[in-house]
Amino acid sequence: MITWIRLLAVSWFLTGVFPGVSGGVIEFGDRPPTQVFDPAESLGAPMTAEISEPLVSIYQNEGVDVVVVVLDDLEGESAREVALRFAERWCDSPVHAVVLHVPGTEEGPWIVPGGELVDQLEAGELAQAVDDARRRASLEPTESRKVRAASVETADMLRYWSARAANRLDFLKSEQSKILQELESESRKGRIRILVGMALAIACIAGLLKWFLSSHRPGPRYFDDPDVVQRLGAPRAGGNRAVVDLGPPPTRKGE
Amino acid sequence: MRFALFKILVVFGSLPFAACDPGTDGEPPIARDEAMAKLDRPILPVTPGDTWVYETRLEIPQGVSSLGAAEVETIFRRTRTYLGKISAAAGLPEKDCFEVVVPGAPDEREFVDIQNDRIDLWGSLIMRPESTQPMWLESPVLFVMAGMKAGTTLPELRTFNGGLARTTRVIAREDLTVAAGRFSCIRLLTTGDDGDVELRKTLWFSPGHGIVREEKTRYRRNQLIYRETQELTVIKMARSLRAVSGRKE
Repeated sequence: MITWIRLLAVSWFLTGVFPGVSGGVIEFGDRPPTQVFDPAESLGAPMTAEISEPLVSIYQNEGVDVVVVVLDDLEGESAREVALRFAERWCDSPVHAVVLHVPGTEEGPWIVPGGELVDQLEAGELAQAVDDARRRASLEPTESRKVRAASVETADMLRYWSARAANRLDFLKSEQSKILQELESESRKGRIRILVGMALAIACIAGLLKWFLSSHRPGPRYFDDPDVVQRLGAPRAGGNRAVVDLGPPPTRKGE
Repeated sequence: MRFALFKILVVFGSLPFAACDPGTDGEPPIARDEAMAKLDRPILPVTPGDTWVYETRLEIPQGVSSLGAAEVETIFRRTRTYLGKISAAAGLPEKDCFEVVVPGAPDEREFVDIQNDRIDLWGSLIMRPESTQPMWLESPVLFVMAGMKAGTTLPELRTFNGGLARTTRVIAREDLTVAAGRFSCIRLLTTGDDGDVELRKTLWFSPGHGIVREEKTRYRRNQLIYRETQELTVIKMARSLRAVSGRKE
């Protein structure tokens, strides 16, 4: 029992005193209907609308989800961790990003893209694009413009990558279709070749059979040549073993 | 043998993608692309006298133009008028010429080649009395083309010495509402460098209507030095029968 109480106490201590360890201190709440989460309203309503409206439209039409989070403080957590937790909690699109900014900090705005599509990108291309977008956004003269620039650049790059992936898919599909047609055509040609081959084989077999039958048709039969013993080298011999009866010799007249 | 291997990879490699693709409506991609390209043609029908009027906002942050200089934020009108086929200088071929007029600045002429399905950039000429030599490209650069698809990249432009570089990507095809109306646009993002000046430009071009909006930002040595945004307010067509407002949805 005491062990259980100790465990509970340790657990409470960890989650209560150091909540970042188990889930963070930043309140997430529900996802706002706009794409901007700015609890302190540091952007102001007009800029919030200017940032949010195109992002809402892009999310609805293309499924590219860019969420902008503006916080007063990161409560000691790293910007990446905070952004990832917002993404995990709020973003279910395969193409999404969190633009996180803490007004007054020089490091922000942070851009943390995520999702299946982003995971498939080349690491160098992704890092370069994110760094460039973040650097340019950080050069804007005001905090709200930094956020706006980062959100626009983030949406641009995600839309481009998303469309590029779709184009590749289209390309693969059209190539697949072409190749399948080609294979089908080859298969048809193959079937025709087989039929022609079979017809030729049948014709050949028929010819051979005809030849065989014609050459083996029963014809006149002949006796074996008799053994001929040439007599005295004569080319012909006749009457072997034949007896010629010459009759009685003729009588002379007067005898 | 390699081709056969490629075929196998394409046929079987794409099956999982095809199985998970959520956005297809059964129309073959090639047919869809051709239909889109057909809708985009003619890419820009022009008649001498056609005019596009833009409201332009220029912003230069504090301390950029000179040390301690105040921030500049000004709005002015920019007018682009099609003049017809003109030669930029002796010995150069006749090209489609637009005159760009900004009050208080020398006029500028832009030379392009407008075909049925594409527009190529050739050069420009600032109409200063003291210098009338045009900036002319040896070979034209594609500006926009019918059927441009989001997710594609135009051929990169890079000068021989590397001082100028441009990469243009097609970000999306989207509708845009401005003072002149609502237009179906191709959204083009150009990034690049002119020496130590970095450029980022987003341009919305509506096939059949022209440039609707443009945002141009320049940075130098990790400082934003210039931003210009122009939006179409009026299109005046020389032929009265031609449409003057955005494409109906």
